[in-house]
Amino acid sequence: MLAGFEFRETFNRKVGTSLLGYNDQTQTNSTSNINLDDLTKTYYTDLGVNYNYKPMSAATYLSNFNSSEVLHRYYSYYFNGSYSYDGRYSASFSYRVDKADLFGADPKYRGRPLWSAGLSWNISNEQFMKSISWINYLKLRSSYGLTGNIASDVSSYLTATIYNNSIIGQNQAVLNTPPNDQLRWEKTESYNVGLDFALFNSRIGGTVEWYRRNSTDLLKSVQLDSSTGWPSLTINDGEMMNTGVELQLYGTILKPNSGSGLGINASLGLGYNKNEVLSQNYLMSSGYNYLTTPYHKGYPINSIFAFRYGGFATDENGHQQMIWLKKDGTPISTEGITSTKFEIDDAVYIGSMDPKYTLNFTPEITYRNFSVSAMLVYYGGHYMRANVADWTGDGSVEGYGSVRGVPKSYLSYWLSSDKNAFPANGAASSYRNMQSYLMEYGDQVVYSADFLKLRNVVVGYTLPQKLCKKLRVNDIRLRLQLNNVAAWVRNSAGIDPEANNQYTGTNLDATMRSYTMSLKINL
Amino acid sequence: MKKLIYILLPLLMASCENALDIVPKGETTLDNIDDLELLLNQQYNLEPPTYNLSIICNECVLAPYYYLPAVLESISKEKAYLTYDETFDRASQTKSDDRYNDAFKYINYMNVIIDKVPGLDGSDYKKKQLIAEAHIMRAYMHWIILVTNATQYNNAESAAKAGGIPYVTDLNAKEVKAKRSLGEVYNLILKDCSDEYINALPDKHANIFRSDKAWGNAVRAKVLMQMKRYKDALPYALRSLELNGAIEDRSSIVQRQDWVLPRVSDNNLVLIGTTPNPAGETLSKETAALFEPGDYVKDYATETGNPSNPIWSPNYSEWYGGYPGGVQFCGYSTYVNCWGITSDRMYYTAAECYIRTGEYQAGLGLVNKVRKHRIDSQHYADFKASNEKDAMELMQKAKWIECIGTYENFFDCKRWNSEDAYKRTITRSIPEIGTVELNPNSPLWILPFSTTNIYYNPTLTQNY
Repeated sequence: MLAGFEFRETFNRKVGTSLLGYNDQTQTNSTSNINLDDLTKTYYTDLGVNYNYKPMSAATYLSNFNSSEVLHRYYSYYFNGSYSYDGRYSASFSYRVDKADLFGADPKYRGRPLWSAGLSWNISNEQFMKSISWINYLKLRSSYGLTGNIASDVSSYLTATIYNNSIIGQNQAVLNTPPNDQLRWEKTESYNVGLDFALFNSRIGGTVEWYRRNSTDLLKSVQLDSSTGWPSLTINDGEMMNTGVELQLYGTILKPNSGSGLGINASLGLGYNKNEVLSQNYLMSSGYNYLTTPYHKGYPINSIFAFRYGGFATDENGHQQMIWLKKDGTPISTEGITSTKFEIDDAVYIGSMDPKYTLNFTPEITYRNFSVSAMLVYYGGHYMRANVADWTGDGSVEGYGSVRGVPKSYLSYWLSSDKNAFPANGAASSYRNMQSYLMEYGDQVVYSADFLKLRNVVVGYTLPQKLCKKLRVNDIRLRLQLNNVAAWVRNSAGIDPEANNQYTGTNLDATMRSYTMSLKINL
Repeated sequence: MKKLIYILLPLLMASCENALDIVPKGETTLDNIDDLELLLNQQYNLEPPTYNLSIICNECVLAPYYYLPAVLESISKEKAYLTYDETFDRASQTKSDDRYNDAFKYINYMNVIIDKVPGLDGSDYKKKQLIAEAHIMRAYMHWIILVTNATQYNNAESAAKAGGIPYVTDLNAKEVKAKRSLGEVYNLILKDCSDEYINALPDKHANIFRSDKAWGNAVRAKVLMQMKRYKDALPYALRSLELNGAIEDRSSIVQRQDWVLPRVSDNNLVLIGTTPNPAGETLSKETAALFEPGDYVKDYATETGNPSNPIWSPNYSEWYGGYPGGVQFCGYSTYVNCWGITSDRMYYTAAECYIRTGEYQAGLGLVNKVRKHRIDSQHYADFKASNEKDAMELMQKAKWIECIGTYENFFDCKRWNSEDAYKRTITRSIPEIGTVELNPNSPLWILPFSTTNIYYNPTLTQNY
């Protein structure tokens, strides 16, 4: 039995250069009350026509005079208990409460109760198992747990932040989030059943586990009628379930017959997960809204829904328009997907952004003083958005000056004689029915995200003892590691899913191949 | 020992619970009257009228810094407003509406005050004052959106049938606010800027974002005038001027060569719109022709920092606006109060109410009072008239120039369009296109609700 208690406080204070007229609670001071904004507008006209001088913009330095102070407190208490009978049956229970100073939250939401209970049966210690010699260890276990989550950025009560109104040099208050006293915990119940085993003198061992996690009262943000004065509100809506199986195996494939003989070890992990949104009550009445919401009943939580891309067409004014297809295949190029023409049925489900299958394999070979190991991973069954930038149409009749760089694929449009072969950009895209930001919602930018990677290969060499003795050291080990050795991706564009933002389809920096060499000397 | 632990543990936990009651620095739960009052120190900002209203009434031709040939090339509501194209689907091209959203944000702030102040500690005087301020600002914000997005008020009978906007008086964020009739909304506005609330305001406001009696009277005068109740509006306008009759003196422009109008000015009853204004506005040729000779701004002020370029610059209109023949404003020290009310403009409100109730010269007398500070002494001559028609013509011309960059010219046109004696068809000449016309009954006088707002509030059916 174990019970514990912890109290923690963090305090971070930043003070600007001047604290003239400082008010501690509002964190404002009279330095920022000086109307620097208007001061910068003092032109020669205020000082007479002969004085042609414009003071340096002081307003840009206003932030230097700000002060800030961030104080947080947390406390936790916990209790763990376990009971074991005869080395065969055991039960465990744990309970924990973590509380924090969530500002504006109802005190009942400050805590985060967590508890779990488990039972296990050590089968290999049963009398009837003693005769089965090839089973070294066998344990069946099961547990149930409950966790909760509350949005820390929303308030139960109405709160406001105090700022300095630089025009009048007085403070003003700005409301933060709409008060929301009906906000509840997002709850997750988990069950699992697992079997741990070791066989044949522990040459093969591992774990098989089945789990189910059921989350209810999911937190989500919904849009509001802006006549209320608020654009959105966080509510509890929806239920989600994760079910999966995991298998972890390790084995000694070849046992070295002497200390320096050939040995092969390997471990293998396999995982399968199924995620599904079971319910969601918030109604969506436009196709665009349906396309962009994270929750779709009957589908995985991180689903990619898309409009069907149907090429480009030139309208009667000679402008390029994008074609999207309705459910029945009717092409539309007069309106975009934010119009009422785009209905819920026109959004198609492509797949989940989370991998369905995972695999990792780690073999290790030892021979004499050498060892070689590697790590191979595979993630599969999921999708991503990619190369979205190629489909955007940034720029305007004034050129590309206001855009911070454009993809080189923009050239294709201008170089091609077929004006509907590539998406228009710059001035030519000004009249397009689909703005740049909508491009990521098309199926033309969705790719399979499956990949197989050889994450690393490690070669090690231990110097012979004789040599070490001569050098008067205990041992010397040389190690060479190659990271990101090879990758295979299952998409035609050759995009590395790990160097890509799967939500927005923008490129990220790829992890570079690296080499590490180390020499370890034990004196 | 064990007993001690049993006693100590709950005590320890209880004290920790209290320790979690932290109000972060710079945040407030609005549980006291001083913090709540800070909600009234807002830097109010709404989308400037020059983005649409001023284009529709032909004060200007373009939103600030737009380029006319590019607008003509585009498929946009800006082009529809420029060319008076009634067939263009403005509604579906209005995806969002910041002006509407921001006005209702401020209305929500006012509702917070009205809801919370009565339950808090504080002097009765102060509490009454804050509640009165909130009621009047709530009325004014609704009124702006109402005149912009609904039809002109004619009489109680027709207003009861005409569509208006929602009138929000509660804090329930989850409930859709149903659109009410034009008549209902006007009744609620008048209730919110009642004599009782006006009298609860202080004599002099604490800063330009706060209300005082001059503001309260001005709001009621403007609302009543927009309802064409000139006789009822007059005493409120006069009372407002009595309390604050400040007139901006523009004669200093001659010496300074720049039109410097700071935000913190005596003539701002309440300032709504804090960015330089009318910076970048490109006046139509028709408006540019209305300046009186000797106008301090047009004839004496120059581009800020560049004395060789007039502040109403024909060159900039041609170069940056792509509109030869117009003038573009290039002063950056001018903060014309675009959505609030100034005492200068209140003279014109009172003036029209005088003229419309038979006191022509009394009305023009008020106009002249302001004009003396607008026109240099070599050119200035008193306006005189002996009938309503002549008096109105003089007043309208001078007011048009006085109100550049504000909502007033659009609001006035919309009201006059409903009166047989004053309705007029606006003609505008546009390069390459020719002359276009906007008739008094055109649907363009009513702005559409945005598609996003209609989506989340299906009661917002278009009012045209």
